[in-house]
Amino acid sequence: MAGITRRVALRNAGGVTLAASAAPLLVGVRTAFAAATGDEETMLGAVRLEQGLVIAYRTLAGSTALDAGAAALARHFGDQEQAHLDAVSKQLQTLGGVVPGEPAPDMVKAGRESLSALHTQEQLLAFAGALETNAIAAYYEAQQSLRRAEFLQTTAAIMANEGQHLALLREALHREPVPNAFETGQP
Amino acid sequence: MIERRAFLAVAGTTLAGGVLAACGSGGQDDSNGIATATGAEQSTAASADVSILNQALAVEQRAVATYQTAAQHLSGARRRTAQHFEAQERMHVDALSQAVLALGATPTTARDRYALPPLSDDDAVLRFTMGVEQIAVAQYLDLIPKLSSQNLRATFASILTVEAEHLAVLREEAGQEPVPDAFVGRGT
Repeated sequence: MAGITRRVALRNAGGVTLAASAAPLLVGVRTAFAAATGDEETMLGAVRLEQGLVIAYRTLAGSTALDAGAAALARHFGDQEQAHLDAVSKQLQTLGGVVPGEPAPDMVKAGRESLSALHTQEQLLAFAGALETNAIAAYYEAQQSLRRAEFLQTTAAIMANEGQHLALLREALHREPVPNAFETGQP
Repeated sequence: MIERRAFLAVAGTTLAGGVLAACGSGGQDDSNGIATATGAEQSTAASADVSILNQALAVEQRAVATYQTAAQHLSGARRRTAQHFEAQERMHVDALSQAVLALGATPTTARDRYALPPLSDDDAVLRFTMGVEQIAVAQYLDLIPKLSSQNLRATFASILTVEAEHLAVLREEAGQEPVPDAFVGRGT
């Protein structure tokens, strides 16, 4: 199962070859809601997912491999992921859930490992695209399990925003920005 | 069953399978307690989903007409973009229509004509198409929690995401910030 998830994660890299070591964070994002059995666990998964995206974009924005335009895009998207993180954290708290103060150590380690093998702007943008694709897949699944209306609306609005990020990343990689009529996070 | 297989063969997507699963016998869909609901409650939930599907269908039919008109007014790459988006809106129409049919109901039909603003130049066309997409995004966000079928909620979210992507591309084309808000549908 882990092998399949890893392959799916790597296939989502938008056609750019990523090193196998890029997979850990992708897998973490893709399976954020895998063990969730209720709204509280799903929203906790959303918090961890967004923490991973914030870490990734902050790291990307600081990379010397990105030109000024790409770095600005990474900063902008990172700010929006932080807004998502704030929103899902607040909603988790309404259920009495505890927001992790810091990203999980395994997520930080996965982020570090994932990005250490990427050296070109194309690889870094493809990695961001793969992250967004996996986040969309996770939120797509969350729409099938969440019960509360306000959580459904928040996560749907976030999923659509991740789709917008993905469209711009595809453009930056000289690809069709909206290739599919249905965005499900599948390769 | 034959109709279901035929549609899957035509559609050829896992998404179509998801739509039909959502509209099937009901045994696969346990959202909001539907699996344990009485027959009458199931029928009421399905009827509500039909109404919601037809509302979304009306939005998509308008979007098809909008991009048809846009393509007539645009040229070059912008025309190709409008035609590409029109084709995607048609796929939404087809999927939603099939979902209504699978629930044993009749899909709403497109109007003969839609009201159009004066489209004097490319900027006017882009403003018009962005307005239609913004309405679509707002509609889907409003409709998703109202659906009883969990598979249809996911399908609606996948369509919402594509409409949001269209909007980002159109904004960029219009010289605007393509992704101004972290949450789509919040006044943008």
